[in-house]
Amino acid sequence: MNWKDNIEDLQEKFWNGDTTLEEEKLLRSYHLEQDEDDVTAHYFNFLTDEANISFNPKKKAKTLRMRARTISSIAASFAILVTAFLLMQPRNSKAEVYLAQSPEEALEITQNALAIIGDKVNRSNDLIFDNLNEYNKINFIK
Amino acid sequence: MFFCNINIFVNVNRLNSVFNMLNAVTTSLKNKLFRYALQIVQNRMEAEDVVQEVLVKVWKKEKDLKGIENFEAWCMTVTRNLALDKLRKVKRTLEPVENHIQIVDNALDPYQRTRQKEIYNIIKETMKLLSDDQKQVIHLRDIEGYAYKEIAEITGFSVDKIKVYLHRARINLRKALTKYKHELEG
Repeated sequence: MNWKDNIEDLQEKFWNGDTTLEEEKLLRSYHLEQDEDDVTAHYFNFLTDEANISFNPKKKAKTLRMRARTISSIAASFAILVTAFLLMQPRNSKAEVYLAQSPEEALEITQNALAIIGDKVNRSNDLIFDNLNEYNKINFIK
Repeated sequence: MFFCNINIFVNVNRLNSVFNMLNAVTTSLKNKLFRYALQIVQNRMEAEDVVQEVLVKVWKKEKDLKGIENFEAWCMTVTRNLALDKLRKVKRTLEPVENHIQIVDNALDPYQRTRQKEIYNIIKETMKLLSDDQKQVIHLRDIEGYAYKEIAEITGFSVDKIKVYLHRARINLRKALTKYKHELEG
């Protein structure tokens, strides 16, 4: 006897969770071919559409960029506000400002300040390089 | 720039080995991992994150992978664990997965399309009411087509338990769909 003659029994078996994988494949292909208005057919249509959902990380990369842009905009606005606030603060007194006594001393102070800034820039460079490497690693996996 | 940086990390042999291992993660498997993660976290971006994390894990575990009998089941288990972890960690409101339902069957007329959308919503809503374990079992069986033994391997549930979950979940889905059909028929 053809299994299609017993389609209702097979459906019953399916909804009770008693079908084998092969029987479920048969049922699925049968209902997709028949295109009928039936509870089981609707369910198989749904399953087929769900099984077509695919992994598409490009969309996410776009979203991540948008997120990063939003965060950068907020951070930049905040930095401008803080800078403006600090600039608007009245300067306390001249006592806090140290004046070099000689051109040599001024040169030494400037060199020290530049050394500190240079050190910070180098550290930032290292950090950026590390992060870029991590980013490349992830891109490689994609 | 990309190749320069990668050379800092790995030598050519390791790179080949990584390529071989990552080739095992086919597009079809990536899609399976994604759908499973999506089923658990119910958010596309979080699910994509989970898949990326699984791929990183595959890369890092490259040497141990040879001992794994069923690579696909192992990947699904890792996906499950990472997705459940993410679900626990993510506190913010997630974008509901229903927003991603798109019926693209051009053969359907507007009435049929609306009706199909309603039916899909009913199925989704009913699935939401299932327990998390039932949801996972029905996803792995009905959408991904895994055998009971494979589902047991992925989830850690016994085969008997899986059968019970599947039976209960399908009964609920059938009830909801039959009710909708009766309502339509008046």
